[in-house]
Amino acid sequence: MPQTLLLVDDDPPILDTFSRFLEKEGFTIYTADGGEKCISLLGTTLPDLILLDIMMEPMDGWETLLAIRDDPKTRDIPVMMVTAKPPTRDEIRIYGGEVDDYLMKPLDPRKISESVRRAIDASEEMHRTVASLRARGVETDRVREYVSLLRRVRLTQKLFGRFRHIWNADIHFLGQQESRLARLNEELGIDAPSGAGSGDPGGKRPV
Amino acid sequence: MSDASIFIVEDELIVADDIRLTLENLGYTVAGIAQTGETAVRQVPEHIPDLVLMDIQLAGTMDGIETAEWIRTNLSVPVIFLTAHADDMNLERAKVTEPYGYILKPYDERELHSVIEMALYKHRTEKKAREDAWTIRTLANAIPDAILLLDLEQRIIALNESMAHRLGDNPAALLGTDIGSHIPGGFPVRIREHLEEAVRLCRTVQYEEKEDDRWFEVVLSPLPEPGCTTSRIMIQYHDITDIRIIEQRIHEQGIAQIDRNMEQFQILNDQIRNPLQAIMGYVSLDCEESKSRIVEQVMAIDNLVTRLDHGWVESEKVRRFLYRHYHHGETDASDAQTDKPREA
Repeated sequence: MPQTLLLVDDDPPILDTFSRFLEKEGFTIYTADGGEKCISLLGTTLPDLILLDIMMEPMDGWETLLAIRDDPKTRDIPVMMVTAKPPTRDEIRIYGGEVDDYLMKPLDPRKISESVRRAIDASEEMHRTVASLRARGVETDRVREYVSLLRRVRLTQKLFGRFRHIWNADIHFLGQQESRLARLNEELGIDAPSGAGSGDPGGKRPV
Repeated sequence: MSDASIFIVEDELIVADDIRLTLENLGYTVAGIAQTGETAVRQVPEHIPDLVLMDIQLAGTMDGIETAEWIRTNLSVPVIFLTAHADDMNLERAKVTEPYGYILKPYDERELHSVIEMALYKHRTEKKAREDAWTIRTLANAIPDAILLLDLEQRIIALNESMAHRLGDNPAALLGTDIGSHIPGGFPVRIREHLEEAVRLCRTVQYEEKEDDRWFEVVLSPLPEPGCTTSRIMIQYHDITDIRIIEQRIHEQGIAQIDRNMEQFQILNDQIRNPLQAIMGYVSLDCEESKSRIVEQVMAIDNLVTRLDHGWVESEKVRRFLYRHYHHGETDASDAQTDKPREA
């Protein structure tokens, strides 16, 4: 059964070109030209991954992301932000824990499928870890903290080199999160290296 | 030798004439001679002499002392009394009129000369001091700032009208009083601390203070004597409310415009990268249909750059506004060099 993707972008040429390439790669594609359309589509279809633009009117990508995470039916779907706008530190702080990957436009559409597959795999692996934590009776709050921290560390590791000038080159910002995740991994008995860096195209994690 | 003009009040004509000759000998001009107080009161104001020689004993209803008192009250002309004998009672009365000297008859020419010169000198000095005080007072009152001079016991030594108005009384009533007695709740501890700091460090202390809806810059300047012992402190209240209002407006309008610009930059950032993304996609598709799509996207980017030009124009307005306020009409030197935006 082919994997399904939902593309959300208010710019038709982007939906057009991305769809063509991803269809060629064997994905089933749904498109939405805004946040509202995305949410209404999710009422009938649950894709394997959502590619979400940020700068949209009136419902922007961050708002849409929170709506996806608020609904138990869509909460676990991996979301990949695809945007021209570098995230601010505040955005990473507020939304980073909900984001599975972050792609910067412009990017080579031929490489999207690779990123998409990696993000789906990483998300599945994360949810397997989550399931085993739940099975071991780990509190819901601790599980949430783990998911949020893991996503944030992946995101900052991926974007840090490129956007450190926007984040005031705050090395501690990354370091603190990494050491918190390491502590949490140890505490919960999670095999650490399997988590971080999986969203990075140049990452060492085997696909 | 002085060429001052002197008016003589003497009821004995022979004596008066003798005095006139003596004065003329000494180089003075005799402005006139009156035989009675009443005549003197009429004629002295017409001549305004530099000095009046006044016999105490005068025929008529006004004696010399009454006449001198009238002159003192109405004109700024020094009076020297001439008297035939040192009459203690008259001298006591004469003192009240603040005479510039006494000459006993029969007078000695040299004595007359020195007493007149002393009186003229004293009068000139006093007049100068009065004028200086007037000038200083006028200047102090012309300044819109409220100014006050305190001694170390916080008593008011001097103040201008603006400060008197702040303290709610007239300047004369405030002089010599404790400043704390004019402020509801006493002299504020905060100001007292600043004052002590200024005296201790022998240095001007400056801070800003809000009072009702006005802002003031308060300057506390110790006025040191040689060797830096301070006995007086000047307090100056400078109203900076208007400057504050202008600064606030510049701040608000500047920030608002920058906020708008930043928002625009973010939007443009997204909007420029979107067509670039589309171009990248169409180039990768490499089919005939893609080429016309690429041209469309290039035109879309061109339209966005035109909007950047509008952003340039808006920013230019802010810059002009700031220049007007901070450089008072000076034109921006970069005006001539700055590239104008392309025609849209």
